[in-house]
Amino acid sequence: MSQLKTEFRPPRRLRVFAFDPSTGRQFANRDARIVTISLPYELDADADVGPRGEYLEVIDVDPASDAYYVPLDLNSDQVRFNDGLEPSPENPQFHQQMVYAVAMNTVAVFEEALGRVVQWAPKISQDDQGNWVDTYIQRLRIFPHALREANAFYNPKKKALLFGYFDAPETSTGAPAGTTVFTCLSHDVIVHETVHAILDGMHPHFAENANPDIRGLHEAFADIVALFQMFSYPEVLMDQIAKTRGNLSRQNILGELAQEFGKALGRGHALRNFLGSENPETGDWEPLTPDPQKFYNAKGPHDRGSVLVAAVFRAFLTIYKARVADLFRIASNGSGKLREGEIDPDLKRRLSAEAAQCARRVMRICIRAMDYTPPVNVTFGDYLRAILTADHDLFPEDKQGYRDAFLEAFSAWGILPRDVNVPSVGALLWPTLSQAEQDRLASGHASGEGTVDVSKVRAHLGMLMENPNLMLQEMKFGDRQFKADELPRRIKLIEKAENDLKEASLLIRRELGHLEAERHDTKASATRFSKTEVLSSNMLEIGSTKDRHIEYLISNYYKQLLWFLLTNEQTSRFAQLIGINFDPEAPPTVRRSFNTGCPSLHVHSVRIAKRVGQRGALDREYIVELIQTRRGYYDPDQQEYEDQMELREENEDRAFDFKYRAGTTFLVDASTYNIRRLIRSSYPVHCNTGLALQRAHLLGDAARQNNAFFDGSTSDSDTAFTDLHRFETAQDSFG
Amino acid sequence: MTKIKAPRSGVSIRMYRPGHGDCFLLSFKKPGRSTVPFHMLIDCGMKKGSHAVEDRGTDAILEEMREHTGGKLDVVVVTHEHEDHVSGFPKLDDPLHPFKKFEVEELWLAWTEDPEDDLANELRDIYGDKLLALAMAHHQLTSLPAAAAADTTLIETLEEFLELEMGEKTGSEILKNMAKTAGVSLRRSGDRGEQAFAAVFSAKIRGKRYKQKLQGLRGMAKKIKFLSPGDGPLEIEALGDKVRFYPFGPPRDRKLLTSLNPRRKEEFHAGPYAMGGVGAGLFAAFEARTGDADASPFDPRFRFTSPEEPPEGETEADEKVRTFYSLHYDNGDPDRRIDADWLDDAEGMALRLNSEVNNTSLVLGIELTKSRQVMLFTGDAQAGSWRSWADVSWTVDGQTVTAKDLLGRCTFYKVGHHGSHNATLNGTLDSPHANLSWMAQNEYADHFVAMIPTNKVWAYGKKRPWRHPMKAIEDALFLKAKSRVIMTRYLDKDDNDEPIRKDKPDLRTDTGITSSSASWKQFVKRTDYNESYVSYWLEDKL
Repeated sequence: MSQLKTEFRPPRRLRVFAFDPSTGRQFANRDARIVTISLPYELDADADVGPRGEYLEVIDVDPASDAYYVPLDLNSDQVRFNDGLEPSPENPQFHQQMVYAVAMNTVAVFEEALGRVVQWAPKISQDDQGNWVDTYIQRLRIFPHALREANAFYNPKKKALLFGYFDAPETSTGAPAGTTVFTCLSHDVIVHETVHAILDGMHPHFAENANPDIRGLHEAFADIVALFQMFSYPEVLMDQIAKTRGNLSRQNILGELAQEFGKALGRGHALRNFLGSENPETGDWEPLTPDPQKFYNAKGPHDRGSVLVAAVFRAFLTIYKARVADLFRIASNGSGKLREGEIDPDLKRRLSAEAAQCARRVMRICIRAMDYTPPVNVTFGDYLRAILTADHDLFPEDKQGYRDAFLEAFSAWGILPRDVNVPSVGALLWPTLSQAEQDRLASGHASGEGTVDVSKVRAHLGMLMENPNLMLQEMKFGDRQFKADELPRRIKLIEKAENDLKEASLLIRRELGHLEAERHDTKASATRFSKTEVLSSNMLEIGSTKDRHIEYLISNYYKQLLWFLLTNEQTSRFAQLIGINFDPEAPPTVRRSFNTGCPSLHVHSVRIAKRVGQRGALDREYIVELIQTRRGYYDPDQQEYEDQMELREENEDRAFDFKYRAGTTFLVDASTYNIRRLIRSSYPVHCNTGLALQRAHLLGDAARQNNAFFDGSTSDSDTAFTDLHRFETAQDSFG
Repeated sequence: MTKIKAPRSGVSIRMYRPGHGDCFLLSFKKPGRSTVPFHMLIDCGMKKGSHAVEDRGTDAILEEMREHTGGKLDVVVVTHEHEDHVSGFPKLDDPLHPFKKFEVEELWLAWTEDPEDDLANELRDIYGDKLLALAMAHHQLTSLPAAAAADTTLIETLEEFLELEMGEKTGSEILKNMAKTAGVSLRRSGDRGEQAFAAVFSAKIRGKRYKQKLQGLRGMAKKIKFLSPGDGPLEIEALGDKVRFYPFGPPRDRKLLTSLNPRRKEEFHAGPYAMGGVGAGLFAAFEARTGDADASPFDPRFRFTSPEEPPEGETEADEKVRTFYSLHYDNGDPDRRIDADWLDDAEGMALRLNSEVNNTSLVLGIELTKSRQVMLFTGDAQAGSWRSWADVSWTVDGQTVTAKDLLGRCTFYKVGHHGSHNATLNGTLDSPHANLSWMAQNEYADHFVAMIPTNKVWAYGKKRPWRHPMKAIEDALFLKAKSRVIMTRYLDKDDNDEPIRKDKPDLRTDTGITSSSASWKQFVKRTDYNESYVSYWLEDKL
């Protein structure tokens, strides 16, 4: 195989069900039942038996039945020359093919939108000494037959997608009662769960139940991608355009997610039907009108999430309608009203092309926005700001009105950030560094003296990125005077940084060496990178052309560098500007670094994003995420008690009820090292209002649990996605 | 030892304190000249290991109770069959049990225990099936090889619940006992848990036979009464018209009492399992594993029998196919295996089963007719039961009395389910469902007292704590009762934040009273504390 790798290879084509077999069985949908997914060969050149490749491994064990199903050989002639196995629910190997193809296709969509490789969340565990260790996870595991229940979820601890199968009950309106329903044959369910895994890789803290929106965002985002991905199949789209005569706001199967799942559960329609619902009186299907009250009253991730999906879909329809209005006029001699009967085939093709393009753009905006959110405690309002800013920075002129459409749709549903009084696109863009600094100074309670020297920040960042070694030297031997009592701490800090960095660069060089031996890849030449070279070049730029593991290591290396820079630069005014607290007097429940005695800072990620902008120019930026954490308690009295405790190292391990986090994302222009945008979570870590809000949310959620032994731990992220589907809640309880 | 003297007016309420669990003795003075009080025992049990005083469990409490009462109980009420309510009662073949020395006149049980009641029998069948599946889930989880070992939290949770239901925490033991009850003997070889499951499953004896705990007690009572909501109000000859008993629950409503049966309906040839019924998948898998049917939905030609053995006819299979599982799964990261994930549903099922049994609690309102005050004993009734009370009413002297009327006069509340979440509902006077705000209205408002049978020190100190009582409920009760809240054990913290035991309530000044308040002084006068019990005298006078 290996010598073929560099040659041109045609894409891997694999057939899958576009719709759940239950919908597929309906005669009316037969034309759009099966689609072929085309995966670029280079995306997963080494994919083999399993299927097991660069990103995924399908492991088809069925422990409830004590069975191991024969793994599919992706490179067998039968698969390779035949667009994969024939779609057939009775063959588990087809199930393996389908989960692999659909999940890989989702990975491809994300890589295209984000301009970098997809990384799964690392495994975090404790070693023998109790230190926390991150382990790189190359492949997400997919278990198509893991469970025997009507459930499918992403397990963040195992970095795995688990799909269940179950027998359809008597109440089923989809699959006939008694027949087996496989959740892994649902295109929507597979995409949905894969998106959970990808988003968890970008933002592991989004699985924490910090506010009423955050888990809803996970759900909604997964649904949005699942929905719009369907628009990329021309077979499906043309069929739907013909059926709805171009009016996509009418009922169509594109808009219903997970039919089989939902129908078999006896609910009569799809699990999350956000386009509209059947009027119980007339039996007619009616589109949903936006209702902020509905959003206000929505409880639980699925209900709140479906509002967000509805808002995004509304934005899509607005844009689509504006773009096809001329086509309708042309086709109707100016009246805009089509005559009765079948829609003209040419018009159908043109409308499909427009719909596909709109859908693609909307989906990319939604995905890209995930780089523009605060790293923790994100709300729907933050997400709207992220959408607008991400699109604005790439396309400063909103020629086709995408941003206006998003703003209009979100406002119609009442989704707006709490602290923004004027809902205009301009007001909702995240601030630039200098805007934020002006606001800080003008706010009247700026801490520290003078202004933050934005250009100095820029220079330091630049030096850090371009030549980390120089940065270290500067810190060690710089002309800054330290107080005598500060000196030993400084030295300790610098020593730690040097050690950490040496270790990180060693790992990188070792992995580069492996790569070279394996690939005979001249670009990966490890010899080019001596120890000093690693420390004096911008590895982020190199990393993005290398394999995923190296990129992961490089990102870790920069995390350490940045941590060091920021911890060293902790002036109160800069900290205040970026929303980070370095005050030794901060409440003792705020997690401390005992190297510095100040609140600790976690540099959560450093990654690079590449996009093609307005004039076809390549736009690159670094995304840096910072997080701070504090121990939270359900009982305000206990919180007060803990907040008055003496600051001692052993107190760091005290029990707590929940973690309260705050954080900041900055976007750094990769060519100028300007901090372009400053994206802070609503409340900083020392802020008791933010803490109280999270407490109230968690207690409210606890009160809805229908369980007398409930211990209030809804904030645990290990089971976040399991519980969403497993437990019910009830009203009226104390909380 | 002095015998209990019942107060001239009203009732003496003793909350015994063996540990975390319910044991209440109500003593009324009989009208006329008799000096022997009328004794009513409501539940007697504790969670294993939850002692309030070391080595002093229900046996010691019962010995003392016998001396104090003279050994005759006029009525024994069992609210529901959970360990922490019935562990003090004897099994069928236990002649030396201290309770055996009592004489029991009447036994009152909820209608759900009535062997003549069709709905009750159906509910017990469903209960039995769920229990069977839970025991089997525990058995499966504990039989996994070390490399595939399941999360210990899940196993421990299941053990906790199995013990509450059966007084025994090992799934395989429970299965074995069930098989014994069903009269089947197990082979020596093979997995005896799976054999037992298959035997019990096919034996067609269902739920009713699994409930054995009360057989001993049933045999002792001269008379058994099964109570339904709206029955009565009951009067007892020995008490004349001084006291009336109003059954509030359990509701006669299948939907409020249980979720669907995880077992398939028999008239269908191949399923379907009741969906939404948590545990349906478990049951299906267990049945397939233990029966002759094929457990997998796929034909044998698609399956390996072990990680190394491809199906017949595939022996020529590519090396990569043949070694796939041993290479990438069995020798991969053990933390990422999924051997036990399909059993996770058992936790949801255990929680639900527990709530369902709690909701079969016999709920009694007891009225002192002169002052018309009402005592409310809810067992462990949860939200499902509470929501049904609004529709219950009685006719007394030609007048309709609703549950809301009675709760408005409620001045003594035995707090449901040890003060847990979901067993005391929140709301307002206008809420459509019964809740704490409905209790003690108008002239009764200043007399409200609550008792919580919880060993808070133990419950909060457990490895996985039970919030019994839940803080929000405890606070609401302290406010409503103006500090007059009695617990089995209080929890306090010393300066080093270590929990310490406390036997008496704190006067909480945030409830608006001081130690010199008349109501507090009166309360203190009427309560008595010692290591066996707390007593409170509820006078039949406002």
